[in-house]
Amino acid sequence: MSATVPMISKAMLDSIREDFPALKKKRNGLPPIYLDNACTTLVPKQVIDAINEYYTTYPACGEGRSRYWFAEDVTCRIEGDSGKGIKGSRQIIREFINARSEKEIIFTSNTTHAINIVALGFRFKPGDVVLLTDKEHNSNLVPWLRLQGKGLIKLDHVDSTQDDIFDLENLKYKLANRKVRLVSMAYSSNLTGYTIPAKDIIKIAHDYGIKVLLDGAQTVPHKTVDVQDLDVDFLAFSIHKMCGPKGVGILYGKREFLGQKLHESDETPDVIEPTILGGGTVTETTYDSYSLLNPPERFEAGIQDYPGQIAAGSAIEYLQRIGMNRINSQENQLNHFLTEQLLNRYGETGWFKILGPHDSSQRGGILTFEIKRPNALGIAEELSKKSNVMIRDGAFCVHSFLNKKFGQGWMRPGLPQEHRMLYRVSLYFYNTMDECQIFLETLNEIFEERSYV
Amino acid sequence: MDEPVIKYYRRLLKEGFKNAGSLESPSIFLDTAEEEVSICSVIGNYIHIFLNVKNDIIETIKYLCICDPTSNVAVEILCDLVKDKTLEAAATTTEESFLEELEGKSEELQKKAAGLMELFCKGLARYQSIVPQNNLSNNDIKEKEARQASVLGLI
Repeated sequence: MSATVPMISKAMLDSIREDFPALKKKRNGLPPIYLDNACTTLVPKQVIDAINEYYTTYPACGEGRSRYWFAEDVTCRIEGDSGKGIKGSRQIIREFINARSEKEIIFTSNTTHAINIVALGFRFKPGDVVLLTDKEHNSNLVPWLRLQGKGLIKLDHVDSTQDDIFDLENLKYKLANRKVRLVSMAYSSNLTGYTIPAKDIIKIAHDYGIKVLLDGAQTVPHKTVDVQDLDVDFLAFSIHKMCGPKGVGILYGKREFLGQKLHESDETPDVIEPTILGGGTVTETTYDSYSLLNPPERFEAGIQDYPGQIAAGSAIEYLQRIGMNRINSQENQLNHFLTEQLLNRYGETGWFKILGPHDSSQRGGILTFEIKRPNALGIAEELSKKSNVMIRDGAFCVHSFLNKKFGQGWMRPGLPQEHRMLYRVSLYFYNTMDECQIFLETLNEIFEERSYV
Repeated sequence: MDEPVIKYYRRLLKEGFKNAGSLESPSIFLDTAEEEVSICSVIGNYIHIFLNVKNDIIETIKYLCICDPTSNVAVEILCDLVKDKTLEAAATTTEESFLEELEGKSEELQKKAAGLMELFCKGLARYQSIVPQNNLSNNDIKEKEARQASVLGLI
C-alpha cells in the first residue's frame, strides 16, 4: 500500500466510532460488530440530528411549494441559499460526484428506483439491446427483464474472464456485433466487490454512440466518483449505504438527457421521459394537458422525503470530513487482513472459496465466501448469537449468476452433504481490526463445532 | 449450537445421515415452506419430508433439507422416532421424546422439534382426511375423527 494514501489513525477511528449510537449498544455484555455494510450502513449522530432538526424545527414542504417560514427553511436546506450561506444537499451531492449542475441530481427512493427511472423512461426502439455484466443485482436485471418480456428490448451480458474480472474484449465484441443501445452495469458488484473498469467501458461504448448507466450503489459510498471524468451518462446510488437515511437515492443524468421541453413529445429521442407524474412535476395543467417542469423536478413526483434529502447532505458532508481516500484505504486494509487470514486457514480445504478476485484490493470492502459443507446454513445466525457479529448470507439478489454457477435450485432441499452457502462480509470505515479478529475467531469456533475443521 | 446437539451432529457426520433421501410417490409429502412452518429460523431453510404409509404404519420416512445442523439433527431424530409406528402413535411424539433421543437438553432443538411435529401433524391430518374410509365402521370413523381432533389439538 502506498505511503501517500491517507490512513485512519487509531485516535480518528475512536472518534469516528463515538459518532455512531448503534455501536454503543450491547447485547450479552458485548458490542455489535456490524459487517453488513453492503446492505446498509450505520448512521452517525450528525445525520440523525439533521433528521430530528427537520421534524422538530421546520416540518413542512420543500421544493418552493410554499413560501412561508418553515417551507423556506426546508427548501434552502435542499436547494441551498447563497444569501444565507447555506449549501443545499443537492449542491453537496453535485459537488460530491462532480456533476456540472444541480439540475442533474434527481432524488429518488433508492438505487432500484433510480434505475427504473432510466429503464422506463428510455425511448427504446424494437430490437434495441441492453448490455449488462454477468453479476447484476436484481435491481439492475429485473427492470430490463420486464422490458424484454414485453418485447421492447433484448438483454445480453458480458461474461467475466476466468479470473473473474471484466472482459473488455467481450464487451467490444458485443458492442460491435449486437444492436446495443444502452450499457447498464454494476460499477462494483455487491456479490464480489469487484469494480469494473468503468472509464474504459464508457469510452468504448461512447465510441459506438451507446449510452452508459452505472449502478454505483456499491461504489459511490467507498471511493471518489467523478461523473465528468468518467463521462458517464447516468449514475444511480443509494444514500443509505453511505451513512445516510433509508429511502433516499440519487439518479445523476447528463442534463441533455433529462429534457427541457414542456412536453415529452417535443424532446429528442435521447431524452428519458418522466414515468411517474403528478404533483411537483408540472408547471401547470388544463383539463386536457399539462406542461412539465424542468429536471430534476419533473422526475420527483409528489411530496418528497424532505428530512431524508436534507440528511443526505449531512451524510455526504460527514464522509467528506473523513475523506474518501481514507475510507477506501481503511476498507482495503481490513479486507486484505481478512482475506489473508481466511485463505491461510481454509484456503486449502477445498470447501472454502472466496468469490471474485483473490486480490482483496480489487474487491473494496466486500469479501464473499462459499462454504460447501453439510448444513452450511445458519453460520450468520450463529455469528450473531455468539459474538454479535452481523454478516449476510444467501444469494444477495444475484440469483441469476448464482443459479448459473451452482445450478438452478441450489438453495432448494437436498442431501446434507450437498449443501453450500454463501456468506458476505462487507466493511466500512468504522470497522476495526479487532472486530475482524473477533469475526475470525467466532467463525473458527463455529467451524470446529460443526467439525468442518 | 448446544453441546448435546454438537455431539449428535458429529455422530451424524461420522456415521452418515441415514434418513436423508427422497421417496418416489410418497403417501405423505411435507414441505416446511408450503406449510409455512418455521422449523429453521433462517430464511432460505427448508425441509421436505417423505413418508410411505402402509396399513396405518409408517414404513419409510426420508427427508431432504437445506438447513442448519440443529434442524438436521431434529429431522433425523423425528425420522428415528416415528419410523415403524402407527400414524396415531407417531402423532403423539413429544418434544421430550426428541430430547431423550438427543440424550441432553437443548432449547433450540426443542423449538425445532415443536415445529417439526406441527408440520408432521398437519400432513397427517390431511392424509387421514383423504384416505378412503369405506372399509371403516361408523364406530371406526367416529374414533378416527376423535383421533384427528386430538392430533389437531396438538398443533
